[in-house]
Order: sequence, then C-alpha cells, then structure tokens
Amino acid sequence: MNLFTIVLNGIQRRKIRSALSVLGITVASLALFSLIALKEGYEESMRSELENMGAQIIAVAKGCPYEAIAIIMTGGQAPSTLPEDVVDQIQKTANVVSASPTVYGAYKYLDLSHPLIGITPEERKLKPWWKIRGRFPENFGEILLGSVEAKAFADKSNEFRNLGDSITVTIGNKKASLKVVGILEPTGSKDDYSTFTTLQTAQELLNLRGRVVAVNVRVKDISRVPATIEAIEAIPDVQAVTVAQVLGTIQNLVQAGQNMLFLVLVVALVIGGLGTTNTMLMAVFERTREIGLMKAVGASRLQIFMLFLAEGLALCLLGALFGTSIGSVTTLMGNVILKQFITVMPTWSVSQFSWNAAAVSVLFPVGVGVVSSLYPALRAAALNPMEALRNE
Amino acid sequence: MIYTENLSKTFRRGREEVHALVDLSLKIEAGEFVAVLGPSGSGKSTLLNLIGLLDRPTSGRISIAGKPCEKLGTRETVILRRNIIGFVFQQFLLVPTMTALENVLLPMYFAGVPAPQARKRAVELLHRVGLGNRLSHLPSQMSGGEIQRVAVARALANNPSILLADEPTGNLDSYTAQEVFNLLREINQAGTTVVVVTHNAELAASLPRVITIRDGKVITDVKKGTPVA
Repeated sequence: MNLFTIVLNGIQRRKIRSALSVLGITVASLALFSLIALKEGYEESMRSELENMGAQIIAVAKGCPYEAIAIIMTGGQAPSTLPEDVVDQIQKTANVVSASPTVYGAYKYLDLSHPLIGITPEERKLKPWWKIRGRFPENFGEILLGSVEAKAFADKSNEFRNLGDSITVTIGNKKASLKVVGILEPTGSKDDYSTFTTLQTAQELLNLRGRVVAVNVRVKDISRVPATIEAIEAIPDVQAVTVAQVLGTIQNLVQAGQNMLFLVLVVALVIGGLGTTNTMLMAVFERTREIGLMKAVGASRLQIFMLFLAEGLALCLLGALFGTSIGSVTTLMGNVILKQFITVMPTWSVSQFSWNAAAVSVLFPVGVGVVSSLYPALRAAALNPMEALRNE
Repeated sequence: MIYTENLSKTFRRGREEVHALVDLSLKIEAGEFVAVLGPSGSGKSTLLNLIGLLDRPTSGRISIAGKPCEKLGTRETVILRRNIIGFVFQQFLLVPTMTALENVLLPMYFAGVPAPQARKRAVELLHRVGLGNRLSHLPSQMSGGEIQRVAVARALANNPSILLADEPTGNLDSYTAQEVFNLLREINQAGTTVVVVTHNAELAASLPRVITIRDGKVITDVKKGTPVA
C-alpha cells in the first residue's frame, strides 16, 4: 500500500464522476496544446516562407503593402500594380544587387485554382538554391512547374506526361495553352506549389501589360536597408517594406487573435478546475466517516491533506496527459491529411508537435489541479475525527 | 496505563447542555481486561473517545501510558493515537473499497512502516484472527463477524499497548459476539490492555473487571469477586 494505490482506490470508486472531471481537463488541455502548436507552426512557416522569398525588401504599389504581400504569399490577384519602368529605377538605386519584377495571378486547371507567377531570370539570382529539370521559361507560353504541381498534373491530367507537353488552362474566361519546359526540384517552400512563367506571358494572360505587382529586391549591405528603402520610396507611387517588417506585422495580427483565444482557454481551464473542486468536495463529504476512521487509526492532518490533494492532482494530470497526447497525434495526422487534400496550399505545416505546447498543456492543468483540490483537501484535513466518525 | 482524574465532558445540544461525563476518575493498569458497562447515553462511549484521544475533555486530567494528555499538541496526539492505541468500532468501520488486507495495512501506511514489512504483519494478523483465507475479500463479501475480526486485526496493526473497543459486538448474533470476545481475550492474554464498552451485561460479566457507568459517573467498579468502589 502506498499513496498511489490509495489515490487509485479513491478515483475508481466513482468511475463516471472521475471520468467526467478528467474529460473536462482533457478538453481544456487539448485546446491549449492545439493553440500553442498552431501558433508556433504558423510563425515558423511564415518565417521560412519569407526567408524563401530570397528578397530582403519588397516594393509594391502604394496602398496597404501587407495586404498586397499577404495576397502574394497565398496566391491571388493583387489590388494594385506598378508601371514596369520602376524596375529599372529600383535596379539603379544604390545598394541594390538585383531587382526582380513579379506578376502574381492564378489559372484554373483540372477544376482547381493554381497560382501563376510571372518572373524574369533576375528571380534566379534571389533563389540560387533552385534546381531545374529542363530549363527556365524563355518564350511566350512556357512554364516552369513546382515539384508538387508537376506530380499532381502528371497523375491527374491526360495531356501532361513529360517535359515538352502542353496543358490547356483557363484564365478568367480565356483559354490558353502552356508548354511545360521545366520542373523545379522540391524546395520545401511554396514554390513547390507554384507555376512560373515569363513576365510577358503572365502580364498578357492576366491583362497586366506593362505592369508589375511587386519587385523583390536583394541588397548588397544589409545594414543599409533603411536608407535603401528611403531611396526606393522616393520613386512615385512605390512603397517598400522589409521582410522583417512583414513578418512582424503578420505576427502581431495573429497574436491579437490568439490572445483572445488564450483568454477563452483560461476560462475553460477554470471551469475544468471548478469541476475538479466539485468532484473532490463531494468525495470528502461522502468519505467523511472514512476520514474519521483514518484519523482514528493514526493519520495526521498532513497525510489526509496529501491524500485528497494527490487525488485531485491525479485527475487533472490524467486529463492533461490525455489532452496533450490526443493533441500530439491529431496535429501530426492533421498535417498529413491537409497535405493530401489541399494541393494549392502554402508549405506551412499548419501545426507541428512542439515541446513548448506540450509543457504548457501539461503543466497548466496540473497547476489547476493543485489549486482546485486545495480547498477540499483542507476541509478533509480539518475534520474532527470523532464528529467525522459519527457522520452517517 | 490509563488514568483519569475528575474527567468531565459537556456537550451542547442546541440550547441544552448535556453532561456526558461528570468528575469521573479511574485507573486501569497495564494488562487489564476491562468492560465498561452502561445503558445508551450513560457516557461510556464519550469516555472511550476521550481515552482514545479522539476528543478532548471539558475539564479534568487524563494520562495515557504515563503521558498527561489534556494539553498535548495535534502532532503528539496523532503519534500517541498511532502507536499506543488501537480502535475497534461498533459500526463495522472498514473502508468499503479496500480489501481485508488493505484495511489492515492502512494504519501501518500512516505510521510509515515499510511496505514489505507491513504486508507481512498484516497477513500474520489476519491469520491470527482466523481470516487467512479472506485476504483479498472486500467488506461486502464478508459476514459481520468477519468484518469485525478484520477491524480487530487492523486495531492491532501498529502493535498498540491499549486496545479500545466501542460496542464491538453490538451488531452481532450472540455466537459471533462470543467469538469476538474470545479473540479480545486472547489479545489481552498476549499482554495488551483491553477496554471494551458494551451494554451486554452477560458478556461483560465474564471479564475480570467491570466498570458500570450511569449519567456520566461510575456506579460500580467490580474486580472479579471483590468490589472496589
């Protein structure tokens, strides 16, 4: 006989009530784990996504640059564009190594929407890690497919098998034939889910002749980024932001939403804790005579206190372990499932197993367990043995 | 072994004051086997609770095993209760969800006896009270007499020098009651001071000393053959 067996004995005698208390904590712990894992996964994927852009500064038309960049990152039509001649002006700005003009849009193929990105060979300077099977698009109508897209097209369409085959796509209400001249080796970024073409092709197909959506800029000296931004913004209608700023802003937006969610979770935990308090208080009332008996056979106040504290703690610990385990399994599975079903999805692993999340979603409920069993345990410890024995 | 002097206990029941014990003095030597006899409400259970340190007197003095107890702290009280006193209650008080063995282990767990040693002693004790084949039975699977014998084994767990039994045969048929009494006699013969509260005059009469209480006072105190008071 030890503390563990006595506690187990207490939990087992009211199976359903114990199970419900555990369930309450499980749900709160699971939600906590998911939220933190999601937040970390999201931040991590945003960071790697932006790093994979290869640019340190992004120049877009005046307006809300973050909105424009969010659209660029997720694929879609940008709200405003710049005249193509700003590219030369940016290129000539001091400290600029390369200025890569880009046009973003989308086309429909096999009933799904796919991001289409018009670039020039300048983009390759930003992404030296690109490995291409075949070649980079040079002529009108030629495309370079991201690895995931290439595989999906080869599997599902009957017109694309090899390099050199063409696919018939829909843009707006026009049809166009695009010839696959290159396939990008896997990069682990959203490039795997993109289709690249020449700037002219994208401008023509997306009705953006002579316009660009963004100019990705790489600088020589990173410490002079602020001055470079100032110089670029001297060009009329141009607004420039650093990748770091974009990251910061997106994180702030996400954070605001998550703070709210976190508050809701704290409420969930408090409710779970009150459930535990209730369960333990009922247990103390029901076992009043046993407590008297234990005291009569030599239990000290501290020993009785510990018995009930441990029992409440055990309920919460069980819930925390269940919640965190379920959370771990589902986030891992969730990633696999999401990647199966959504072809055009940023490479963001939406959430991932995180030790931080696991620690918080176990320790928080355990803390709640201690606090919520404190009062019942004190009550049990304070019982007068004789009165407790007389209790019917 | 047990010594009380002018022991009084007054309860409040609503506005009424109940004098459960009034200036009660008695002396029980080590190794005695004493019956405390009296009708219900006579104060005999109150006396037992005071001796067992489950309750505190309103006034008067009490000393157990040479230790004056009326001013003991909580900690010392617990230690005395744990090591010197064993309790057997009237209402078959076992933890219903624990086996016979676990119920006997309980006092040793609280006393911090190492598990293997405690287990060995618990098994021994259950054999001694004739329940060697009932170790893993729950109270619900045992008869009243068996339960009370488990309670006796539990009371003996920490090898107390005093065994206090509060109407241990109150809910038993006369044959089983006699068995339990025989068990208590054996325990007494092994050296433990035994005090039994009962209203069964017949059983009490077979004991070497019978103290009769009424209205919180000692009426008679008879040691086999010779009246003492």
